Amino acid sequence: MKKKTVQKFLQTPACKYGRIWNYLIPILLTAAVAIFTYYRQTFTLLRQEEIGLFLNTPDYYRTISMNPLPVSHIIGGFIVQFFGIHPLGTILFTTGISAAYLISLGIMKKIGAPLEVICTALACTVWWFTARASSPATGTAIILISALFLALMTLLKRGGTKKRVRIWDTAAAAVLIAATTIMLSRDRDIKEVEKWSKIEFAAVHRNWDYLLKYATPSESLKDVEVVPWALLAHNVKGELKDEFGRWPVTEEFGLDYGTNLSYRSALFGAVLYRELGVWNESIHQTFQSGSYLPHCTSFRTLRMLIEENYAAGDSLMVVKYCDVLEKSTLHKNYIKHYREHPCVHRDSDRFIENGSAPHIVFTKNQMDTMLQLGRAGIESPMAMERYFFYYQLRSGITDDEISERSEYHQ
Amino acid sequence: MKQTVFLFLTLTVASCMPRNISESSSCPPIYPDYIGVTVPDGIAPLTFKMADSRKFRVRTRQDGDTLWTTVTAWEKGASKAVRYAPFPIYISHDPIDPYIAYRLIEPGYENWQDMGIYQRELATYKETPVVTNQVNNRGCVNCHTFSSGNPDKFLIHARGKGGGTLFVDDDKVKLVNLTAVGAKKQGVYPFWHPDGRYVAFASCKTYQEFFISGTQPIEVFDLTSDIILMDTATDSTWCVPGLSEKDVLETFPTWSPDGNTLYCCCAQTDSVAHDDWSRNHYCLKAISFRDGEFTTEPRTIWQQDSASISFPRINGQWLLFTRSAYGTFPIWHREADLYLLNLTDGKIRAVDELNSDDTESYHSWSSEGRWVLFSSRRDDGRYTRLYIAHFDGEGHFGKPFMLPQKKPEHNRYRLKSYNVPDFIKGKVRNRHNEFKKLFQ
Repeated sequence: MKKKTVQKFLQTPACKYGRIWNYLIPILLTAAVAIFTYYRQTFTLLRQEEIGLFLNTPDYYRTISMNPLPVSHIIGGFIVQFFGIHPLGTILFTTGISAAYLISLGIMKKIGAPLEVICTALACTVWWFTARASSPATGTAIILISALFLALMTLLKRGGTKKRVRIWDTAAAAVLIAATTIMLSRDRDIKEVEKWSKIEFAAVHRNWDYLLKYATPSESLKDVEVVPWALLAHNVKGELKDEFGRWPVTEEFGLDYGTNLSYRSALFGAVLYRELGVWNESIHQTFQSGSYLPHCTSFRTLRMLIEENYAAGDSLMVVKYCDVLEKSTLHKNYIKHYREHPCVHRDSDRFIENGSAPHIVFTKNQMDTMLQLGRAGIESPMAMERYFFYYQLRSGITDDEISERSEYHQ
Repeated sequence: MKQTVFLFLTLTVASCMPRNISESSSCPPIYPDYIGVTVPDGIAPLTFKMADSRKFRVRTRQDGDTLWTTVTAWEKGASKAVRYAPFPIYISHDPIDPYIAYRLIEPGYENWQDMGIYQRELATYKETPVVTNQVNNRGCVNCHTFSSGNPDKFLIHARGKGGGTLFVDDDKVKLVNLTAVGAKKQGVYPFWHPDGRYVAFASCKTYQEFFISGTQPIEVFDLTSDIILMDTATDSTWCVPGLSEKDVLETFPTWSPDGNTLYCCCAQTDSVAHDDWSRNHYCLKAISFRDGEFTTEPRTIWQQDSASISFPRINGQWLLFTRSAYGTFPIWHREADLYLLNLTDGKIRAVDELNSDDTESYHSWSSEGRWVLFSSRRDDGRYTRLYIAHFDGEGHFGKPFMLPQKKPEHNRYRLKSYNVPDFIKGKVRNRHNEFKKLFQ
């Protein structure tokens, strides 16, 4: 957009305080959104990419078409791919909110009521909802519908009135922006999503120290669900013995998720069994986690399946998932590695096993499962350590001791 | 035939092919493998690509009912191309049902999100839903079974909130809770009697175990299973005498085409009870049926101590079944293959024309008995794909071909498995709203 056009769009008649005054509201809004998103929603955007999906395949479009707003889901799905590159995600997100402001300003001009405060309020509302949403689809839908509305009004060619931006307009808009920023900063849901995004991201990417920075004993008092993740991190690092006593283990959340079934419990299972080297179960749990997502899969699910099948030696599945991911936009380099370094295919033993191998299976008793791993030929110090603590929890620690431990922490 | 010819013309890529061409005596490496397959006249165009993604050009020559196809392939930007030896595609005029139905589901084994039963017109690539789990609050929809391939008479199980068995008979749609009528047992693996009145079910308590190691991830097995019969005229069910024994597992009921015999697979319960599934071998039994009553004791048709039989499906004198090393859920058994039993002389053979190194499992005959539709995991080892093969009526099959798609890569990109494929004689009309009302 040329400078003159921009000036015209943003209420060109120069304000008596100088031309910059006309741009102050969008500048303030853009700065607030960019800074907040970059510093307070870093991992939320990364997670949106990880649980998002965009594939240029007929099945993807068919699933999308079953949604009430298919176009916004397609555009939202396309945009979400870039959230994996964090600064780019921030730029896109900020652009979206700024676009909401500009579109509403355009509409206001067309109806002859160029009220910047209302436009700011509308943009802040879009920001509020989009920042709290699990994907940018809703925000995209609002922006698209608004843009369509603006386009229709432009076709009507109804002239707008020109007026100067008054100081109180800017002041009121600034207050609105500040209030929205403060409200979003204090929003529990946003904090919660960011915290879990960090924990999930760290666990999936094996950054155990980073995980333990956010899954702390004091955090576990507010949210006991962090305990299994923190204990897993200690377990992988080989320090469970030293750290176990610091954590409030409950019946529901301890070394694992118990009987809880959710996206996060399945993801936990996938990460746990990946670290234990139990690929059948890791793949199974990754599938399970995918089943909680809109497309039954996501970029994270597909990448995890590639890595797990690669480690398991199932080259056919690695090739298949690489083929699928190739239909996204940003995975060319990721796939290149697996294409250039194919795994050693472990396939020939499958037939023999069907008839002769001992059936070593998972049980609902996690302690027993840890013991079974050794029988199945998976020698894992991690599993041994977990077995010991399961044993300790079930026989060595009484209910009174568990409650004492909880009281101690509180 | 015209359609089939048209397909290859559309595949001819008029881009800059190198002029320097060398000849190869081998057939081209194409995906899907359509070399030497027998296809029904009027099937949707068989699109393919080079397995190694090279650019290619196709020339076809028709010789009677054989389509000779010559492929010339080259690397992008290369100065030399390779012309492969022409390969045949045989066109059969034997009739095939115009539609097939199947379930699409992720190949996981506990949770799901989207699941649906779909129909596909064989002459085109058009796939439309028969029912999806949007009608029953994301519950499970399964066990779709058509009465002799009739698109207006079928049943579907719908599990989850307000679940039951949906019976469709022209304009009549009813939801029956099998556990609330007659024998008060749930039913799976349904099979309609040819007269369209009775339906035989297996009633199973099914469990699954997950293997810690090895490349087979799961074993699914029944702790108990009996055969029950439902009279759709009265909505009553009862256990089939002789096929609902406590110490015997009976499953996969199948009627003979004349409706006078009910076949099923049976195994002793003791091997399952002792967690030794590898000794769990199902045999094939049959029992006579006349005028709504079973008239004989079950008799053993086929039994082997080292193998298990699943999904018997009969076409005249031929009984096609899945043979696995053990158990009742062959889809996770890589050794599972299709076998053909000649009911007149009892001879059995592995159908090598159809089998691969990976799983071959659920199968069904076309209504005229000249085509067989089966599922196989030969493509990648996990995602089940559909194959169709010609049957000559004398016990021999043509080379099977993968269900053609508009884009040949479609089967690679699809992240769902095809499940319980079946031929149907026409299109099932959209009953989404009717079904949805039943689950509200």
